[in-house]
Amino acid sequence: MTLSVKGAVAGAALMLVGAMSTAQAQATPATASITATATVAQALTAAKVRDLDFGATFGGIARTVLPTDVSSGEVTLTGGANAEVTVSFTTLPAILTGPGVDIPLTYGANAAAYNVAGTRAGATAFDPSTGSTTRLNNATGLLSIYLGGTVSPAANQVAGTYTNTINLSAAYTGN
Amino acid sequence: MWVRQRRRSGGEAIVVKHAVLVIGALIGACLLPVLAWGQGNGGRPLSAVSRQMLDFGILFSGTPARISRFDALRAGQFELRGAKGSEVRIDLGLPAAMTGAGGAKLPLQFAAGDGGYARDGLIATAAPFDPRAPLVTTLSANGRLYLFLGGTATPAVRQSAGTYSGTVIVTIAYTGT
Repeated sequence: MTLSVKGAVAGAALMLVGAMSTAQAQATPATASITATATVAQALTAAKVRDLDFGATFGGIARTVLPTDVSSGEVTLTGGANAEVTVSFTTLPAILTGPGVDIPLTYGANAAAYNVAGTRAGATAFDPSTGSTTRLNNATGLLSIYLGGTVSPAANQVAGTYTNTINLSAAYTGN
Repeated sequence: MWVRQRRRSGGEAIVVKHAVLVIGALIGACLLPVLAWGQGNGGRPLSAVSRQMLDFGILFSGTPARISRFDALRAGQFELRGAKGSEVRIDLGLPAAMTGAGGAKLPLQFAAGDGGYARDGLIATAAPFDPRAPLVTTLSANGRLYLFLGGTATPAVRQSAGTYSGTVIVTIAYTGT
């Protein structure tokens, strides 16, 4: 009897310990963690390579520079490889100013072009007035932008140098 | 120790029996609420498992990027397990920023709809919740619950290039209800 009593007490104690273990396990919150991660690509930069140069013009004779011409304006973008960017000309002047009356400057729908290869040949044309969305080179992160246009000096245009400023803006789209 | 002292005489053995019964009754009384509560939870401890990191991928300086909780490839994912149908409280520890080289910070934001939970594990039909606040819900009939987490990372215009990371911690506990 005494032995059985001891066994019963021990059994009860085990039950209690077991129940407490279960209760403690259940009362203990469970946790886990995950990592939030991101890789920030190289910042997007733009550098002028060449001005848009119409060269010598003559009064009354319009002159057009194509984006594929060597005298077209050129800007190189550098950023994350294969990143998508928007390119827009934030300032696209309609005139050149100089010693005489302003010289009208116009841009056709194909007056701008881009090429991830960095060459004018094979560049993809776009309308500079609307801009374009494309991707940087998938290896180098480079994109070359070219701009042409047409100047139309008056017949009695005063000789001299006429200039203006074109501004280009580019931004990552996040894609 | 108390039982051994009572064993010295046969007459006291009866006292021992009663004492044991009393002890048994006391133990039973103590266990009742615990066992009831334990049965209510199916006697199963909670567990939490990380299934997928919250991956913002490649970010570009000055361009915020948002990961939807529906994004099966990039949303953070947890699997929670416990007693079938039991009510639980879930808390998420959300970092305010990811950290990069030299301690550089990349801010993170979590909005009301960035959390999702589903008992069947289907991300497309997960119910929304605000990950910034505790979520009280019930586990599924098989004791599972799946969490999905999106968010927004906002790299600065001059954010340094490189890899950034932070830790999201989930804590799950039975409510006892």
